[in-house]
This record gives sequence, C-alpha cells and structure tokens, in this order.
Amino acid sequence: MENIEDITKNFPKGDPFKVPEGFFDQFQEEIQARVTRRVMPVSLFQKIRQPLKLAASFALLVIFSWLVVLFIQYNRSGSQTATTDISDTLGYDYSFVDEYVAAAVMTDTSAATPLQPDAMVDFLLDRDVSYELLADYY
Amino acid sequence: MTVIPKEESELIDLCLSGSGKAFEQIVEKHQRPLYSIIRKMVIDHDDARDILQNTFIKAWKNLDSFNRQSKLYTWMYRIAVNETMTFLASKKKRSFIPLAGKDYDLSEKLENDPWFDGDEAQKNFQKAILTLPNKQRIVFNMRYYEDIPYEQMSEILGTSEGALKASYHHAVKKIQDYMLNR
Repeated sequence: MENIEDITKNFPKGDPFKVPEGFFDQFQEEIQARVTRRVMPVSLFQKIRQPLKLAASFALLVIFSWLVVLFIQYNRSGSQTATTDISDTLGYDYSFVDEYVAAAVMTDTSAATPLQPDAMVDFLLDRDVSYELLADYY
Repeated sequence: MTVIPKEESELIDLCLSGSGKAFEQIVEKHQRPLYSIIRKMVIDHDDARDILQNTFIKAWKNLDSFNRQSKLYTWMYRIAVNETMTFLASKKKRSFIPLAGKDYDLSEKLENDPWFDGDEAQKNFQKAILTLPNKQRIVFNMRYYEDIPYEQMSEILGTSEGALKASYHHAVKKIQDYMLNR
C-alpha cells in the first residue's frame, strides 16, 4: 500500500490564494471600528433608562389602580344617591311623616290590622317619642 | 483538557472589560490562518472576508462564554469552521430553489477568481480538492495546508482522531485519482 506522504509529495506546494494588498490591515481596522462602536461609553441617561422605564411602568400601574378604586367608590356613592333620587321622584317626602302621622296610620281602624292604643303606647315609648303624643293615647 | 496560557487569559479579561485594543491583538494574531482556511473552502475572496468578519464579531460577542478549557485559537477556528459550513450549506440549499439564481459553483468561482495566483497544476489540484465533500475538504485543507495536528483538529471539528486520519487518507487518494485521470 502506497504511503500517504509519498502521494502528497507530488501535490503542488504553496498557497495559490492571494489577497488584495493591505487587506489584513484594512480588515483589522474594520473589525476594530465595529468592536469599538459596540463598547462606546454609555451616558448616564442610557444607564438609568431601563430602571426608569420600570419605575414609570410601576407608577402608571399604581395610578391606574388608584383611579379604578376611585371609580368604584364613586359608583357606590352614586348608587346611594340614586336611591334618594328615586324616592324624590316618587314624591315621598319623609319630613312630613312625623310620629303623629305614623300613629294615625297605625291606629287607623279601617286598616286591615290596626294597632290598639296600648300597643301603640308601648311602641312609641320604645322609640322615645314626645310626651304630648303619649298623652293623647293615654 | 488544555488550560489556556496566562497571557491569553489576561488578554481575554481585557477584552471582557471592553478593551478594543486587546481584541485588536487577537484579530492580528488569528486573522491570517483563519482567512486561509475559510478562503480555501469558499474560494471567493469577498465571501471569505464576510465569513471572517462574522467569525470575529461572534467571537467578540461570545467571549464571555469561552470556558478557557481549550486554546483561544481552537475556539476561534471552531467558530470559523461553523460559519463556513453554514455559508456553504445555505448556498447549496439556495441552488435547489428554482429561479433562485445561478448555482453556487465553486469550480467556476475558481476559474474566475482574480486573486488566484496558481499555475495550471495548482488549479487542477484545487479542482480535485473541490470534488471532495465539504467535511473531508476541510480536513484535507487543515492538514495539508495548515499542518494542524490531529488532536487539535479533533477539538475543532468534534471528530475522533482516528476518523480524521481515515478521512484525510481517503481525501488524498481521491485527489490522486482525480489528478491521474485528467
């Protein structure tokens, strides 16, 4: 079997591939330029830009959550106001419903289940009503 | 496992701290042998320049992942070989696509290369090398032109020394057959 070195001895020697003159110097400069561009010193703003973005996002989240809470609270109080508004609309004015009116309604004999005066007195005593009214029922 | 020399390790540390000057030394030291192996694989000077450029940029970007268990030269060679193989594979894939343009013909590139400075025997020899599969071709070029030891080639190519020796042997025989039958 033929030795591999004996075969390669007959192969042409030397590198036939050439490069343009000054290629490697120019190439080195190109690489240097690209690498230097990548390690340019970063400004203070560039350094804090990322944490700043994070802080701004967090602040926005907090503000948004706060607005949501405010909105919910506003809606709750709004619904209470709305109830009062409805009673106004229906024409009920509770300022006219004093103990006299209430007593008259409750003792109305034409009602389905009128209250007896004694029961009325006990009821009114529990609610700390005026003596004047109590006197009427006594 | 090889541990890299102290000076090389210090140079890498400087690069990692952002020293472009330190990287300049690495480029200066390795650009010629890397270019040589790339050029013989892709033939065209411009293609070789682009691949060499990608090799150094990748090395710069990934220097922090270099584990220093092999020589820097071996690591850079590995990047260059991968870049070259990826380039050749992409050109081959492209040639299968209809209307994608002319096939990437390395023999034709060799014929028209203004920077090829060999005689007719040299040209025939290169054509013989071009008949080899890419992996075998790179083994042949590394051994014949760069005289890289099999041990180092094994680290670069991730192939056993025995397989590399066999590959080189086959390559030499094929080239010899090609040259004799012309």
